[in-house]
Amino acid sequence: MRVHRVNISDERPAPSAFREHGGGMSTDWAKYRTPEQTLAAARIPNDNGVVGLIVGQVRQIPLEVTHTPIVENQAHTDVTKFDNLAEARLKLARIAFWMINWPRGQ
Amino acid sequence: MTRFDYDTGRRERHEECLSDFFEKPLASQAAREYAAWPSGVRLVAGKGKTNYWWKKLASPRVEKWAPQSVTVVFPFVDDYQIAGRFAGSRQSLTDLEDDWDGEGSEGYSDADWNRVEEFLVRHAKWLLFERGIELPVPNISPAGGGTVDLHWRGPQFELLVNIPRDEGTVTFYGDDYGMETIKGTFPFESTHTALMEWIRSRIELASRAHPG
Repeated sequence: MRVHRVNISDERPAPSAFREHGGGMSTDWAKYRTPEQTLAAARIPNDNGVVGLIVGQVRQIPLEVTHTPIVENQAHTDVTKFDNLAEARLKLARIAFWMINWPRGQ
Repeated sequence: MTRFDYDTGRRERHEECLSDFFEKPLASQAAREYAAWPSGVRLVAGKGKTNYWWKKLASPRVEKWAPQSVTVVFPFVDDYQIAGRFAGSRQSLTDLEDDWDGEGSEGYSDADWNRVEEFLVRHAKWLLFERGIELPVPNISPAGGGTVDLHWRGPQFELLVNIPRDEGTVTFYGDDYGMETIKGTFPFESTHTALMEWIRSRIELASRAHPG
């Protein structure tokens, strides 16, 4: 998933990067999209990095992961059931790892 | 606030100096720098013949600056000074307009910042007055739905507090990277003393583990 530069702290994605839009946190399933394609879909790619999440770890938080393809994005996958929002977001920030850093070249 | 006049003993003159001082840009500069000072450091301020001055001074030593000056020593206890410690994120937050991330996220206004600042000052004051500990400066960043995240990440604990856009419910979660956790919700206008006690205990554990 993309992480905007505003949501990066000490070169790590901050918990604020992980948030719901319309009932779920949008991510891309790596089976259908490369990190480069995910980045390119941003309005301003240079303002974003891309992090990866292991589905098994996300489900241990526990959150729900559901493949929800849409017309323009076969990879679209929702992470839902943020019952304790703060706990879930802090734990997502811990398990996320960079696939494309921001700033670049690190 | 404690005031000393080594030259004239005129208390009124001190108060005039202090009032003037805080209307100067220098005061906000001092407040910003204070964020990086170690605990126990005080600000000494005064007025010379032609201008204002200030310097850092470790308590409880009191210095006389110059024959023409007054010397004022005061601990950092007023809202303005405490707020100054957290002010570094103000502009980066309030500069965000609607759709700042291209994902439709909401922008932030001065009113949003003021709410965050009020929350931080209220809790920092409680921790300082009641326990003599400075609240560490968190990372302050925009979260979903116009809310704001306060994120503390240190070697002994990690804590996330989410401030709502309106004066609704604050949610928080923290742990010591192990079994000890704290989480819950509370009304925005409340001061969550148990949460501050938890931070205090984490800070004290850290200082015992790494004295000095």
